[in-house]
Amino acid sequence: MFSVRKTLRIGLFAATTFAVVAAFSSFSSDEASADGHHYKDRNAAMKSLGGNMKKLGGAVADGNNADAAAAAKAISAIAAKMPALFEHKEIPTASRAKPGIWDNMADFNAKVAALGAAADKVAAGAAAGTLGSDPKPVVGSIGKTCGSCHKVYRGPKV
Amino acid sequence: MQNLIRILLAVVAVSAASNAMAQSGNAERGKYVFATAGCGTCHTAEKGGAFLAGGRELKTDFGSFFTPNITPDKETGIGGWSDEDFARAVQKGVSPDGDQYYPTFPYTSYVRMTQTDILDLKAYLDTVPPVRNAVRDHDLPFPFSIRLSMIGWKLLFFDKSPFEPDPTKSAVWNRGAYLVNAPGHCGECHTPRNLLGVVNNNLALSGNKNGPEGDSVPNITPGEGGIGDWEHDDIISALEIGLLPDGDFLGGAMTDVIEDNTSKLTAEDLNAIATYLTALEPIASND
Repeated sequence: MFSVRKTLRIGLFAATTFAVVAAFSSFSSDEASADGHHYKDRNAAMKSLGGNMKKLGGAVADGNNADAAAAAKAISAIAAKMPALFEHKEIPTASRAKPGIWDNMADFNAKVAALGAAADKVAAGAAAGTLGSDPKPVVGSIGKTCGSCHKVYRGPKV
Repeated sequence: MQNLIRILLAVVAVSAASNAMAQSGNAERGKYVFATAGCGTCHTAEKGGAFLAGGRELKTDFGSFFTPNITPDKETGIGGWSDEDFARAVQKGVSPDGDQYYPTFPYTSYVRMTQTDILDLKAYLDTVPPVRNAVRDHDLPFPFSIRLSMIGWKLLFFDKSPFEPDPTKSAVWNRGAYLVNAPGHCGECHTPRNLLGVVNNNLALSGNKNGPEGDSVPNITPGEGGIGDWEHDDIISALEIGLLPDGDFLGGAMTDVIEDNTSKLTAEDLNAIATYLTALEPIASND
């Protein structure tokens, strides 16, 4: 009887320890990191980029230069924040970031800068009223820089 | 009588000439076939490799393959090949010397290409600048290093059936089916394979856990985890510029596929592919 209780106790202890360790590791890797950077901020930034790309496409199709310029400027502003968001290496299980980002930071940041430059060019085109009405080449001119970075530095969906 | 003979001779001459025409491809059209078949992505080495001079490393579970030079260089490329040599290589997976090719080279899909497309493609490849580049051998462990083993593999698994249009479907759907399954060879990455590298066509295009560079490849059927909630035009945008419905942009190996191939397709062909993919039987994701 004693040995059964002992076994149960050990089992319970092990399970609890495992749960605490799992919770802690989940907290430390998935929720927030000691240095304050946060993969969720990166995700939010990426989602915001996508949202603004959609807005940009819609605005170009509608011939709304003011909205197109605003979306392009928002994309450029997010691009400017990217280097800080990726400054510290964090790859929790939910992240699609590839380790290569931190092995090739200069290249990664150059690709981010290309995103900003492409968005600035579109913003200037919107201001000058020269974007035309076909959203694909406009969105594609920025999207090319997204793709060139995703090609190397983003893994498949997890 | 002499007139009759003269006419008959003329008819024979014209018929012989038209046969000869049918034998040689149209290079201009072949350039477009080349875009549909996606040869350039694998046959050009990364980081500034000469166009089609080979040498790109393809890492797989079976080892590393190094793609061959397909420029018309006579010694290191395919310069000395006849049309028949080319068709046999691309559709049967056998070199002019009788060597067996591994199915990393998607002859398993190209076998369904039309003869016109094959000849036009060859005619185009004959026009690209020849580059002298001897590519190293594949780096494969035993027993995969034995090329002859491919004879058995082909006997068991190589489905040589040609593309058969479905008369109950529209011409647009059939064009899409041809592009996806023959030159486009989409299933080579988007369909799961078994341990022997055989594509599981019961799960066609439903995603693959083990795609190029070990990355998973998504489900492109309308099944769960696939493209069921995509609009027809979403597929076109994705193939044309890499844009996803949520404003995200495709990455991984698909970036090259878009740049080298799908962005170069005509609006009609993109529409055909979207028509075919949206009408696929829904299969839940296997990626």
